[in-house]
Amino acid sequence: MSDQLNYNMEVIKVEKSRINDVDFNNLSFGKIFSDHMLICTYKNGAWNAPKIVPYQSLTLDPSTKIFHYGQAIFEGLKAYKDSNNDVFLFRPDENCKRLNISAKRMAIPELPEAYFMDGLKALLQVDKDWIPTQDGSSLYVRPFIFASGRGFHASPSDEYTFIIATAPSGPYFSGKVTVLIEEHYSRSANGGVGYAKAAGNYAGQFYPTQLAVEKGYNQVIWTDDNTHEYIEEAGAMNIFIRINDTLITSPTSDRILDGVTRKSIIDIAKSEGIPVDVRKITVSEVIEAANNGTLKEIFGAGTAAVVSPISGFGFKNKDYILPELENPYANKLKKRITDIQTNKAEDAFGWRVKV
Amino acid sequence: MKHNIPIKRVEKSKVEELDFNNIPLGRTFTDHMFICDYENGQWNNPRVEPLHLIPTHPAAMALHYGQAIFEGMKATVDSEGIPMLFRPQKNAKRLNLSADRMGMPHFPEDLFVEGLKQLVAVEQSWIPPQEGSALYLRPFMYADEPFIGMRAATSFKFIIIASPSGPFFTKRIKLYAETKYIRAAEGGTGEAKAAGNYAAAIRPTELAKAKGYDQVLWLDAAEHKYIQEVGTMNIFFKIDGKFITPKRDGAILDGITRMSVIDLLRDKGYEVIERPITIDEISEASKKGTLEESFGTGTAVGIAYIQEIGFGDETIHVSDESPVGLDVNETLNGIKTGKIKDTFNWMVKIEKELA
Repeated sequence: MSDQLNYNMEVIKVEKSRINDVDFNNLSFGKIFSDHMLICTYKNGAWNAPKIVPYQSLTLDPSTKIFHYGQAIFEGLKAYKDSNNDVFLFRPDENCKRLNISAKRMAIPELPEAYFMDGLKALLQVDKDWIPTQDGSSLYVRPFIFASGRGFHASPSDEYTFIIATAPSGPYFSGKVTVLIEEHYSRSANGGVGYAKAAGNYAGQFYPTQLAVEKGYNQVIWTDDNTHEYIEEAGAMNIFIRINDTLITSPTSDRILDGVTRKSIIDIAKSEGIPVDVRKITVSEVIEAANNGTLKEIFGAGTAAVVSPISGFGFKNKDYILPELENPYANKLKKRITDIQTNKAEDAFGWRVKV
Repeated sequence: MKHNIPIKRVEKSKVEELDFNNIPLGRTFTDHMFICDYENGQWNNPRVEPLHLIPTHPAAMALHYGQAIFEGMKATVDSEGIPMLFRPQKNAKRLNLSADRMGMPHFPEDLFVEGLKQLVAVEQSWIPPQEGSALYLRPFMYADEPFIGMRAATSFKFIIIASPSGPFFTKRIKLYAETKYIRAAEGGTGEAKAAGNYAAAIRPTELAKAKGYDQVLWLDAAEHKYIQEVGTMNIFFKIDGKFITPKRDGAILDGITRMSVIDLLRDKGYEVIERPITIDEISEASKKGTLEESFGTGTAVGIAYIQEIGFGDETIHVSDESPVGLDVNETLNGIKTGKIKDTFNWMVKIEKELA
C-alpha cells in the first residue's frame, strides 16, 4: 500500500488491516466496510477540514437530531481498479453537485467541493487494496451527511457530519428482476423531496417494497402520486422502456432523481444510434405495448444496480413477461458503461476520473 | 403482562443544576433513558440506564435511509405531586401504526407504557410543577443495522428520553399557506410520525419564517387547495359557531391533542365536523365575517392561536382573540394538573414508589 498522499490531509491509519478476513471472490453488497473512512464536521457555521480515520463506531447522543427528524442526505458511486492497478471513479463531480442540490432542499449547509473530491481521492488511495477487481465487483462509495446536532426541534441543526464510507461489493441484484407497478403508495410528489437523495425517501419505500416482495416481485416501479398513471422510477434505479426500437425514459422532475447512470445511458444509447425519447410514459401505454408485442425491454439504471434487465412486471393482479431477446439494448449498454468505468474501453465522453 | 425492567441509577442527579423558572427549550435532558434492543425478530433487554452516548455504526440504516419514527408526549404532576401521563396508550398505538408504514417492528404496547412509567417514576423530580410546564417525553425507534441497500433493517433500538420544558409563550401566530412545497402526499408517509417527514419540512418552514411568518400551513400535494396541518400541529377553524377540522385522509397526522380537543369541544356544546376544508373557503369566511377563530393543536405547544394566514398576495385575517381556544387550553391544562376533574379518564397516574 502506498503511503504517499497527493492530498494534504490528516490521516490516522489502522494498526492492523482487516483485509485478510475478506473473501473477495464472494462479496455481497454493502455489508463489509474498508479499513478507513473520511470524516468532516460542520460546527459554528463552517465545515472543518476532513480527515481520514480508522473505520469506527460513532458515539451519538440519543437526542441527536438524525434519529428524530431524518435530516440526512447521501450519494452513491463506485471506484474501480484496472489490470494496471490504476484506480478510477465515474463522474464523481456529478455526485458532488447532486449532494449539494440535496443539501439545499434539506436545509443542510453545502459542502465545499474540494472536501468531497479531494477527500474521496485521498480515502481511495489509503484503501486502494480494498477495491475489488473481480468481474461485476467494485468498491461502493457512500458519501453522506447527517444532522449531528442535538435537540427536540424540527429546525436546522447546528452541527452536521459528513462521512465517506466504502464497501467492497459484488453485484446488487442476482438473477432475474421482476417488478410491481405501484397503484396505491407513492414515493414522492411535486413540492416534495423526491429529486433529493434524502434519507426519508428511502425508508418510505421499504414497506410498499416489502408488500411487493411478499407477492413475489423484487422491486416496485413508482407511479405519480396524483393519478398513478405515469411511470416514474424504481426505488434505487431510473427506468428505461424499449418499445419497438425506441428507448423511453421519464424526464427528471421534482419527483424523479437525476440519476448519473440514467443520463450516461441516454448519452451512450444516442451514440450507438439508438433512438431515445425522454418523455412521460403512462402505464397503459406500456401495457398496450406488452399486449401488442411492441414492448421489447424494460431495465433499471442506477449506480448500485448498473443496468438491470427486468424480466417481468405485475400490474392490477396481472403479470406480464418481457421477451428474451438475442441482443438486448440492456446488455450492450451495460457493457459499454462498464467498460468505460473499468478502463477497458475508450472514454469518448470524458467521464472517467483517474485517482 | 408485567415486564421486568431493571434500573441502573446515576450516582448523582443533575436536577439541582436546573433552574425550573428558566428552562432552555428542548436542550436539557434528564439523568436516565429507557432503552430496548430489537434483534433476531424480538425485543430484548428493556432497561432504564443513565443517559449515555450510543455507539452507532456509520452504516446504521437510520443515518442513510431515515428509517426512524418517534412519539411525543408529556408527564405532569397534580397538586399532590403525583406524576401523570396523558393518554399514553394512544401514543403506543400510533407508534405501531407508524412502524407498519415504515417497515419496522411493533413495540409491545404494554411495555411502551410500562417503560414510560418506570422512566417517569425515576425522573419525577425533573417534572416542572408550574402550570403549562411538563416533562416532555420522546419515545423513538430507529434502524441500527449496518447495511447499504434498499430494504427494511433487521435490528432496531427503541429509546425514551425526557426533557423538562417550560410553559410556551402563547403568542398569536401568522401562517403561510404553502402552494409550492408540500408536506405529504396520498400514498406517502404523512400519517406516520416518520423522521423524514420532518426533515422535508425544515426548508419550507425556514423560507416562511424569512417572509415574516411563524409556521407553514400545509396544503394537499395534488391541488394545493385542501388544508392539511399547520407546522407540526393539526388545525381547527370556527366558522359561524361551528368547528371544522380537516378529515384524516392518510396524509394528516392522527394527533392525540386533536382527538382530545374534538372531545372537549363537543363536551362544551360545540358541533365539530371533520371534513375536507379548502383554503378558499377560509378566505371567503374571513371576508364574510363568519370566520371566528382558528388554532393549531399539538403535544409540544398545546393550543396555538392563529392571527392570520398569508395566501398568495392575500392576507386572510382570522381573529384578534381566541376565546374558545383559550378556554380549551385551560381545560386541557387543568386536566393535566388535576385541577379539573378528568371525566374522560385520560390521565394515567404513576405510583410514586414504583421505582
